[in-house]
Amino acid sequence: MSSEELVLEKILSTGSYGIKKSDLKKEFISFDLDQTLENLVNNGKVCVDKKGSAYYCWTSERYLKHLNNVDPKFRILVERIKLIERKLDNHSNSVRDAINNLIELLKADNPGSQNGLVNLDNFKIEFDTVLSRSNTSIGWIELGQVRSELSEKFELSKSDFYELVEQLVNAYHNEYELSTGGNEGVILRGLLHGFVRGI
Amino acid sequence: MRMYPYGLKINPYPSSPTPSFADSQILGGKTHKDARQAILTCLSDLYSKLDTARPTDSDFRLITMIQDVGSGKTHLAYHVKGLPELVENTITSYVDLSQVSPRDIHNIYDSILGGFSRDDIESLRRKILYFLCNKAEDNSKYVKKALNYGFLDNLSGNKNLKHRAEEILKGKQKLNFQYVPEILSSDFSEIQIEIIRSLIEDKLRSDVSKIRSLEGVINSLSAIADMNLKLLNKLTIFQFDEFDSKKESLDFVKAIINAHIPSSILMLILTPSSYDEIKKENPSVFDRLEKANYKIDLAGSNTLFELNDIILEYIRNYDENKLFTFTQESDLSTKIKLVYDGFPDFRNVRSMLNIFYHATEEASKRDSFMIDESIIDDTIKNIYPGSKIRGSLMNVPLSDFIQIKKGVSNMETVESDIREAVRNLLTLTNYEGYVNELNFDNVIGDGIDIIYNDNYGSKIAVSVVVSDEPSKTRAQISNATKSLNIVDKLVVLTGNTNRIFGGSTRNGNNITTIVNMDNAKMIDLIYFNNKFKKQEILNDDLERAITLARSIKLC
Repeated sequence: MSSEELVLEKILSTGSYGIKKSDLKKEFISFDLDQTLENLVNNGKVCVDKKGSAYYCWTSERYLKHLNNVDPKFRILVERIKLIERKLDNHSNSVRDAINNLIELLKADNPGSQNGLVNLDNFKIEFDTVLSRSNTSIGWIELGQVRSELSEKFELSKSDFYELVEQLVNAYHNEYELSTGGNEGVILRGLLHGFVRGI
Repeated sequence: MRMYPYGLKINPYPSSPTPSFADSQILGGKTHKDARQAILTCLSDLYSKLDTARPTDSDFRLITMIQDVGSGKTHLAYHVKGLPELVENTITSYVDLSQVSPRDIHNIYDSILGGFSRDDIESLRRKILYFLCNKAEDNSKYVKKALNYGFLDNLSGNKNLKHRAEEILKGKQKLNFQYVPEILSSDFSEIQIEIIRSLIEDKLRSDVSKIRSLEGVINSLSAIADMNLKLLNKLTIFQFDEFDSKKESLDFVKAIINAHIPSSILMLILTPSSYDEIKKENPSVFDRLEKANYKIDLAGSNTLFELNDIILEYIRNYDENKLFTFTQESDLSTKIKLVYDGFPDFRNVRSMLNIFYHATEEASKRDSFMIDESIIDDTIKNIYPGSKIRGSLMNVPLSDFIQIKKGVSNMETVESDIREAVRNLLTLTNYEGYVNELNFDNVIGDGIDIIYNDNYGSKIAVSVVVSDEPSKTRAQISNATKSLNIVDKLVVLTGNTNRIFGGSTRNGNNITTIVNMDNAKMIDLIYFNNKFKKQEILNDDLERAITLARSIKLC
């Protein structure tokens, strides 16, 4: 065992009562006790304080216990800190629960998808990409086909998809046009508009 | 005398739901004008390459015009048919296939013949008879017999064969046809001579039943196109509107395309939906359509820019006294934009023209020099009673909509206006028992405007954040969320700037709900607020206001 281990073991064995520094000096004469104690204090393993007229040594935890017993101010402060700790715990639990609830909600609405992240802007980017890939000579493409292709990116329900299409066409009415027909699409003037193209 | 707005003597807009030939002479809109130019280019190209003496099957062109219903395809087809610069060198047959039923070869052929104008048929008859007269130089005896021109005619002073031809055209005399084949056989085919007979005897359409096969019909059409070129020096245009995927139509069109009828143009007018159906129904025809010489593109035919120009063009055309000034054009354009923005259902040529036809009538009844908001508002209410401004729950009249919309675009004042409107809306819902314990004054936390309890006893905080700066909006929302440890739920009412879809915003959650209000919602709120302050919220308005409160998640 090293000198520091020998001294630490001795201090630990004395519990919250502590041990006089002079007693340690008497017991450990084969090495420089002052230097060893300084190392232990610097490492935060040992505390040295005056008790009565003599200097005593404790381990850190035992020293706190000692202070709690002998110093009423310290005891009150500890109580206050514990109270704050409890409050923090409660709040962190609330935050954690809220986040978990939110995740559950998102999962429930859009199982296993990125749906929660769909906004008109990223929807437009993907929508435009599908339109630009359209290989018809006249540019018109069935909305059902666009939906099918976009389902790989966003797992949107049919109604959510067409709600977004409607908003997209309204927001950018100079960029898209719809045409009647098809099997699914947006209802305008009571007519099913199932074809789209970029202008 | 009844006057119309802008000093017009007549209502310039078409009154029928589908275009008439007379209305179609006015063509507005850049897209439509570009399309017309593309058709003219095709005609000019064919005409320039044509050897009028001997046209071949390479002198055939196919044009497709594909666009949605109500976007002006038929109008453009009519317009092209009546263009003065084309009347000189084309003869057009317009066929609306939706009127051909049953769609057999005889009916389609009959419709094609009926699709030529009476003037074109008359000019062809005249040319044939004059051609016969000119043949007198080589074959005087037969020509005179054919024209029933005898000794007595000469004695009575009728020395001119062409005078006799005119009498035949007027039905005063008859052509003795038994001599005609002998005269014309060196210039015309047998089929053409048969058609000439039908033409002269004015039995062209009644003789349709004599043709027994599709091949016979195609040969007849070729013969007619050839005569048009030979006698009138004109190209023949066959326009088929409402072309669809019915088998008879497809077979007929395929045969015409395959025949490459010399000196003719086939123009097919259809919707994207029909085009798609043809693709599925008959790939062979679809492939031919894909290879059309010209695909007339009406892309953007229903954009605001296009519709605006079309609507203005009608007035410009009839503005004899130049009373429709630039200022009035701009003013009317503002109204057109409002209708376009507020009513997506009307974003096509047909609907817009219908609205402006009725608005013009209404303006005339009111003796108004211009078409104003209230006229448009009443027009829409009368002719489309079920229509309302897009997204509007409060049934805001167009005139109020216009007024409020100007204010909504002012970001400096709109936030406080919306805040006041939300307070009053909650006050109303409080009276009605949908919420309680309203608190406007002792609100907790930054950015919280109102606190109240919902029907379940949950404490709700409302924050109104309407800003055009996304960073400011985010900061305000962030501030507001600090109150979450005190209230059960936070509702953030924000503008359109930071649209978020999905997640908490879209589906809501039990902690924070961000409601993105579009212009229509904000206009609804301000309209409600104006009425509330004037104590004009009546029964229907009350229900609408509750719906409005629900729509922005206040109760």
